[in-house]
Amino acid sequence: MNILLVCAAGMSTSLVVNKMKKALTEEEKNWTIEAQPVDSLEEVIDDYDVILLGPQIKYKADEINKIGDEYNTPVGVVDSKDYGMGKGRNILNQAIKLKENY
Amino acid sequence: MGFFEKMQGFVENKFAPIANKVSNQRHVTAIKKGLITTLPLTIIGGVALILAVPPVDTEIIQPTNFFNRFLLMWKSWATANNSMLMTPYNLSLGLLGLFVVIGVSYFLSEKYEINKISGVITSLFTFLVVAAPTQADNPAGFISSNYLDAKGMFSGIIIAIITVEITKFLLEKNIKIKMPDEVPPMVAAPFEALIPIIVNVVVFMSLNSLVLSLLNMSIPEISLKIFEPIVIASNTLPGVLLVIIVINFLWFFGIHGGAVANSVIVPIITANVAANAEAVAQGAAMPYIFSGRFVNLFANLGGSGAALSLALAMIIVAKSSHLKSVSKVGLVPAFFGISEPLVFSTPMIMNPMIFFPMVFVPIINASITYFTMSTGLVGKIYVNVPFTTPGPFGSFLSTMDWRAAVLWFVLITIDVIIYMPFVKGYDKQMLEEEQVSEVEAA
Repeated sequence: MNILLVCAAGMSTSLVVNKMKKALTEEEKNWTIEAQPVDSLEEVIDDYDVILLGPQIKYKADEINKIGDEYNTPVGVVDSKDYGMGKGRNILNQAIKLKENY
Repeated sequence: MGFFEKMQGFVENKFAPIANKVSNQRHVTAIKKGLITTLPLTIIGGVALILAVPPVDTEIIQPTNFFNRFLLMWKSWATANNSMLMTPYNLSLGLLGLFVVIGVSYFLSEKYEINKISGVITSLFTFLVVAAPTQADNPAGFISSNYLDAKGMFSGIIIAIITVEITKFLLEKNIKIKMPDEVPPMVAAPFEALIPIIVNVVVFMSLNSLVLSLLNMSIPEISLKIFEPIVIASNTLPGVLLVIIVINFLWFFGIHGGAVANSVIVPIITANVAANAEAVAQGAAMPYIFSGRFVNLFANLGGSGAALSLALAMIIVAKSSHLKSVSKVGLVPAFFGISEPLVFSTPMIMNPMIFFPMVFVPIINASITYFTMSTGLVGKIYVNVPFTTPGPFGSFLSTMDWRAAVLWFVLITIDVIIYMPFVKGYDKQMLEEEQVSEVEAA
């Protein structure tokens, strides 16, 4: 599965991405998890199965949901506690659920 | 419903959609993206300027020790190689207006799905015609670079936007040179791009001669005059504080305050840092306090709410396992100016115990810095440093004044002291909760 995290500049999400990569299980090792600034979302969205927003840009959720609909990609906002503490496994589970329920 | 919940409702339902609309507005987005593309050039220009104009006063510094001898050697090397060292500065920050035109017209053309390179060429050509007219009495054929630097930035932004809008209008109305169907598209394309260039240049040249004859000012001069009040206001203490209050207030409600504020202030702080750099290059006094990375380097130390001081205060006083682990997760990123781990894990958002220091500590920092910079105790910012440069280094490199690094340490000390009682109070709450859950678990 390919997961994309977006925030304002892609800085703090890149920290979270590292935590998520560390939490991958053996059979998930081939997953791609990347961070991008929200402004370039439309250029790269094609390459991903799930889009996760940093909680600090939750206010853009409506607009990003629309983009997600256009590209048939599920979109979710990362739980702020998980995001802050870098709880990689919880965020991975959230992504898996988003994908399954889409 | 408590006060903060009501406020959150207001911010999320009323304010955030407006802020989102503004920062997503296509012209604002094009300006923001265009200016971000020029960032590497402003950093290179700043570094070249530091090398070319070392912070050395030969009347004060005597070759008494190794360090001073090094500074004096640097100074004489810089004087001997001045024109070579100044070239990267002159052609980066010194042509900032020109590069901004390229950036803004590129991203607006992209948004409108117009041929990007044609859009850029049209805007750039129109801008040059207005901002850098050739002088007939100059046989060498130089173009005047007077308005190609930061002074031409505002007119550059306006011209880039209007030329792309005119081009889009002409294309939508299908106003172009029509070639017979037998002509291959490769041959027809350049002719199709011809009409927008001609229309734009004619419009702006006529407008420029009109305002020149009426007001005796060119379009770049008028643009500067129009934006002057905003630039002046943003350089006053209330202006600076307003920006900082808005940023941290939004962060308190979990909204990325910097991203919202930047869509408005980036053109101003970019123009100001370039103007300060020019003053340094010419040996004049720097005009602007609110310049470059002022907010990150001297107000929001470590990110929103001066988060680095929160992390340090936690390390000093916190006993609860929650705050201990939070400070462990948040300290290092905050040192590099990334505050999100602290913001969301403490949490700082919607936390009444943290509200006061989160909003007021940066105000105190900005006020002290403003005072020290306006009285000349500490040098102003004239170099753009990358956004993740850690505090004291960033403060020093952006001002090339060692006293700025001292100021940074003074500020962080004050900040930690202010944060401590609040962290203590919050820590007590956490401890009680942890004890309760331990009892329940047992």
